[in-house]
Amino acid sequence: MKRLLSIVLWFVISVAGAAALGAIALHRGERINATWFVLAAGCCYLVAYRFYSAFIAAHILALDDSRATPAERFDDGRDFVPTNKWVLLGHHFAAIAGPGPLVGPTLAAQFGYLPGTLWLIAGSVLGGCVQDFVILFCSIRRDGKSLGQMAREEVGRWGGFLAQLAILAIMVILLAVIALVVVNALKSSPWATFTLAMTIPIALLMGIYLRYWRVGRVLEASLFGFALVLFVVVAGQWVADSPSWARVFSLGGTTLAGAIIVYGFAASALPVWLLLAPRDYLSAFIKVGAILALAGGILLVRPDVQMPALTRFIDGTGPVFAGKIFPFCFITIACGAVSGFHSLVSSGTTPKMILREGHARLIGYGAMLMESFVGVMAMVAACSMPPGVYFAINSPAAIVGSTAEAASVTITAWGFPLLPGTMHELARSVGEQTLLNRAGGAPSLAVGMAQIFSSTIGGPRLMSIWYHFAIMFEALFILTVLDAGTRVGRFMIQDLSGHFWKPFGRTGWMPGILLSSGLIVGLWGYFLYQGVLDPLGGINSLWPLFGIANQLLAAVALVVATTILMKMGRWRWLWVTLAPMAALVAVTMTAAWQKIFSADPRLGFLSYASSLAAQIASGAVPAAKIAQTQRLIFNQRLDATVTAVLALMILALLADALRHWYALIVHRREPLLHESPYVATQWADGD
Amino acid sequence: MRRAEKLPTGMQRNPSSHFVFRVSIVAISRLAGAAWQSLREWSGDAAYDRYLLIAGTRPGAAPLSRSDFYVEHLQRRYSRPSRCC
Repeated sequence: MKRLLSIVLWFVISVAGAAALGAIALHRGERINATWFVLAAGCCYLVAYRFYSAFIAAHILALDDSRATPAERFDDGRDFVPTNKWVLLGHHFAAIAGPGPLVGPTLAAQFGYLPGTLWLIAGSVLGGCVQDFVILFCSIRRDGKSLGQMAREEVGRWGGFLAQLAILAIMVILLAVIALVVVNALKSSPWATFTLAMTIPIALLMGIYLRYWRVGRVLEASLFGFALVLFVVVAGQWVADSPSWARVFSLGGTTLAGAIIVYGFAASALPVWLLLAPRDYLSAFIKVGAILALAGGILLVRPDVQMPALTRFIDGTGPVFAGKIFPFCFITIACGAVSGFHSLVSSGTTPKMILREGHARLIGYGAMLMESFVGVMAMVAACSMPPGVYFAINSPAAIVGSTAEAASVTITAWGFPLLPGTMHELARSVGEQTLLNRAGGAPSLAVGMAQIFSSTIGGPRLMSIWYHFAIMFEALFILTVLDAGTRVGRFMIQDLSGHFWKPFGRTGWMPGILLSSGLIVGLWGYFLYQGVLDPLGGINSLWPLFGIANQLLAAVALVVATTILMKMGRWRWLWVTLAPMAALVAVTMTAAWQKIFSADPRLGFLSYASSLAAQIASGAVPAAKIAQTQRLIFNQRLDATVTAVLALMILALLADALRHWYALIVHRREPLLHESPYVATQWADGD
Repeated sequence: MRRAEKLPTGMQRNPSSHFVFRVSIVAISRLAGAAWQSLREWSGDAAYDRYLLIAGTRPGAAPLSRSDFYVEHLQRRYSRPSRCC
């Protein structure tokens, strides 16, 4: 009877999911309600978790709860800490969910809601979740080793070296692009700039409280920090209303970029307890709270999605970023579908805290499903505003003009009606001077979130507060990723340089700290600065670079996973990791090729550089702007070089993996697994 | 039982409903306690308590003070990728 009920239940869930997916895929013309998105995603995730992850757990990985995990064997109360599976799910989710699943889908909404939504669902259940789950399992079986160590041991020296290089590359480009998102969100916005600036003294205060007053009482400190953050969100309005204070906090792109670079350096060089850790505590609470609030808001308000299923920009002429759906939708949405960066967390802290092997399914596969759902919510929030407004916020001035009137003419001509008054009214309602040309996804997501929140609590009166709360929430955890990433980048540079000069490798040596912090900040700061100067908005160049770097790391992780499955003798099921890996390589290589060699100057780095050079040669560039244009040409060629290096790394990795796999297939090499030996658990079943 | 007799007719609690009430209160307080403990563990608030439990079972070196543990814990945590994109 129980079995029959279960069959009926899963049949109903599957049919409901298929029907909802069909509804959003086939719906044309009229608006569609967001409930269909939630239903489609929710049912697909449930079915994927119940069947696909169970199949991987049982048939491929053969998870064994009788085997002691590293957390049990090495329990030291520091790194190796056996943790309740629900608590660890929260930990893991908080670690993997950053700005990516919010920003990527918002940018990809320029193709319409359909491509991004389908990729978020299919990419996560067949690719991203599989990667996170399998890498977590592999790391558990290897005493919590990192991806780089596993690549070195299981694939070869090349694999390990490429993994290290890919991590550093992704770190630099990721930090630059997310900093650019913050710059574009804060540009000429005294309210948002004041609010975010005030989170720094709040974090310092929390840091001192946690270090000297009530040591380690994270909950207390986070609670008062959160109260202070809410206060400064409201106080930002007073700053914006005061002409003298508003002038102080109205900053341009280059000034903001400079401020963020200085902040990144300080966060990396200062003691971790003073600024980085307290900001991270605060950010984690606000992040989880705001995501839950957004989910609740969407379910309560059930907004209509106004963006069409497909827009005219599927032909590659999109104003937010250039390029067709294939490959650019798959590059733009990395986090939320497949993100290589997750493999670092899955082979970092989490495997050292897992209580049972069986929990890897919930934590590895389940947490990624949750992140994918965050991406679907971001897509709903972006698509629930009028498409004309979406394009006005996200398009650069070089394409739609810098006034509401010019933008209205251009965007209406694209088939998305927009009155100039609409943008003025919207900016006024959220307490901003203008919302035009805010490429980067954060402001449009904040508008979408504010509309959903204000429909739930406060009505239009609170629209401006909700908007700035949403901007603060996004910018706060972007800066947390920025300072944590800069610090890790600093350690990587010190580690690398320590081989050549020993004192430099000592993480406590002050000249080494300052020099390596300066180096990593200089690297991402350069890309940030060039993004701010780019007349096409910077996101057009940098976000695809970030996507390529991130998917490169995912390819590294899936190569490691496939190699380990081969050595485990799971030849029949290799497609589980091989298929997403092949898809990612195809996507990444196509995107890299087009970004370098496309004849369209908006898409190809080299053709853009050539068109700028031609403009200088023909005398079309005023003498005062020649130096700036030459810098742009250099930057485009640099971006082309970076993309080429990333593509070559993928090819080199593939060649090395194929050589290794061939040796395994023809039995030239013994399938030697580097798993730690079996040790039976000492814990009872209920532990 | 004496309190139940003082209540007006129709509002008197019989022993079984009193038992259900007490069981519910105990269950709710246990649930709230577990949720609180989970929140403490998730946020890192309980990290030092957890460390002391383990350090107490190890002979030899004295456990770190709360302050030393806090700084060391953060140094380790933020020296590897801990936050994703």
